[in-house]
Amino acid sequence: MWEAFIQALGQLSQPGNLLILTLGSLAGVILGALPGLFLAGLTIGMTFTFGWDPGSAMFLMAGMMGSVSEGGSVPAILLNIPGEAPNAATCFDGHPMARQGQAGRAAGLAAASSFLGAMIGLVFLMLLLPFVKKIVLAFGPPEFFMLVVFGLLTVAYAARGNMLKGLVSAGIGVLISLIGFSPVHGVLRFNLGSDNYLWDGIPLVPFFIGLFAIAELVNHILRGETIAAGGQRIKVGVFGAFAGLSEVFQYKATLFRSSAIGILAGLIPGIGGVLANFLSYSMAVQFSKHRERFGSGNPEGVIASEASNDAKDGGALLPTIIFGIPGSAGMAVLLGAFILHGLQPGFFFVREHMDIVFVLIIGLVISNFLASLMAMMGADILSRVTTLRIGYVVPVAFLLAIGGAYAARENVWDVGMAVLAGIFGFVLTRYGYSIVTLVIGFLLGVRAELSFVQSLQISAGTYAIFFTRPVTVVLMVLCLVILTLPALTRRSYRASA
Amino acid sequence: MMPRGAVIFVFFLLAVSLFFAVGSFNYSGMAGFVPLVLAIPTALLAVVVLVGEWFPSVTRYFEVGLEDLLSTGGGEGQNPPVHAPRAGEIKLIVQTFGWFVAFALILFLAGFYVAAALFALPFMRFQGKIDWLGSMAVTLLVEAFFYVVFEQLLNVNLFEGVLFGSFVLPL
Repeated sequence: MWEAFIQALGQLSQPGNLLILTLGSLAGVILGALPGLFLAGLTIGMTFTFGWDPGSAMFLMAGMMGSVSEGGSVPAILLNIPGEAPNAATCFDGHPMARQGQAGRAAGLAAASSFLGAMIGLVFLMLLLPFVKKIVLAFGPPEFFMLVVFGLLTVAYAARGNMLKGLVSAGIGVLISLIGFSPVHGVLRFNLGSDNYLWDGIPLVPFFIGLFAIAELVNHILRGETIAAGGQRIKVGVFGAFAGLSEVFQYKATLFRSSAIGILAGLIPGIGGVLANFLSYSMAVQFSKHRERFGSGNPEGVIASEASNDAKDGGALLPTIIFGIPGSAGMAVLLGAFILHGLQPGFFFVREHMDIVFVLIIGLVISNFLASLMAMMGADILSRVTTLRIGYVVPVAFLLAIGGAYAARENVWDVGMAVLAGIFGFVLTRYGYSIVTLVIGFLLGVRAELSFVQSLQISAGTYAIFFTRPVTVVLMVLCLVILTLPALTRRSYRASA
Repeated sequence: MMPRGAVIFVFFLLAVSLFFAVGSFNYSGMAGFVPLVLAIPTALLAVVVLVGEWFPSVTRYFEVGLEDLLSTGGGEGQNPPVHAPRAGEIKLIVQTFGWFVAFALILFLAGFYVAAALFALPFMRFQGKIDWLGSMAVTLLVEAFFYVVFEQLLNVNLFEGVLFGSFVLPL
């Protein structure tokens, strides 16, 4: 394991990789401050890595992913507008602090708790790494198949709104993944008469660009003239921000509890940063002796929110790396980047590419550090970025997206695919269907089919294999529990309403 | 009132599922069986969603996700609340996708640089209400960016258009 760590450090020392990481962090901080644009930016960033060596590509992805929530905390504190959804709870106490003239202190608290939360998450991941091979080996084809079913159910349940629509999206995603030549069966399926373009299935890059970038740009056009409307901008004092840094250590219990919630939320597919964010905030309120102070500028509120949404990355990397099951949209794009670079998560990934795992970890550590500095020093500029006019942003972002969709394979039909996927993604979100479950279904479809077929080969064609192995039985029970949860959630929701 | 677009879209998803279900009979053994066992439940779920669009009480059991319970804001690109299109919104959506489709067609015919200029400049000026000078400056910057970053640094040969002799791979 230490050899892989040293190899990863060696990759960092290569000329250009530190620059890529720094530029990725800068892009992540800016995109994080622009509500709704991070996934679009991350997907476009992924397309730039085509042709790079996997290490450099992962430094860019880690740079962008590690810095997003730091960027998102700035408009949450200064404008009362969360840059990304997982920064939403930061508004509750961060913005009141800013209105009381403590914007710098709040920005410092957010930066320090984000960084420390991320470090706690990554230390947890590193502690688990020696056991990863054993965990992976415990999962044969039947277990992996049930894990995919469990993952899709949890993502569909965790989404806002109708779980049925989430499941329909997942089903459509899996079905779409079956288009093209099947390496499992050796036949070309559902190719719509296309013997060339759809041979390898729906191309991943233009499909992602359409769903995540183009669809979101149309949503931005509908929302208004600037990226984030409203909010009274408040200035930040840089010295105040540095004062806020040390204050985090006065609230160690909140920091560790929120980080632990973030890690757990990351480990379970679908329980992304939003849920971790609100759960850790509500836990901070429950554990506090001064509950009445929350919502009016309590530093603990900022710490709880920011520590959890950064700690989740450490937890979320684990299922993505060892099973190839992404728990969130960001992790789905990361998985897309793995596939783009010929890296297949699972046992062989852990055995052959442990250096890439450490590249991601080192990248996330440095990115979080750089982003915390950037968010504190450039908070005033970042809050101005949110007032960029849509008239500028949409055509430029669209052209970058199209350039990325084309560049991956230099095939002009990919441009048409990106536009079609954009229309499809826009209509999906418009009518309350989850793009994330669709994408996760799409990414896991072929592997799930392979596991299903292999399971039946192992059992000589009998389905009892899914009901007789301990792990599959546990996963099946968990699936049944998830199917009953909407009723309980509905009852709690109505009670709280 | 039942959102008409939502119903049409469920029918579309149902048609997609049925395409896979029916198409699966063209393949023997597991190659056809796996798509079939996936397509049938997806189609059935789509039918339940369709019934729910007409009679919301039927599917209300499934209508609250974990995120609704804990949050008040939006999710990570996940299900936003459904609402009927506001006045003028459909026109704006059609206009925007019209721009995108027109760009793709011009790109196919005349190549990336021509399409980028013919898309970005009028889009910024007429759709984005940016002044001519700003629109032209940003268009030029974008063109320069594509030349430097894509063609020179990333060695991507940007498409030059079928009118200028670019080769198009068969579909």
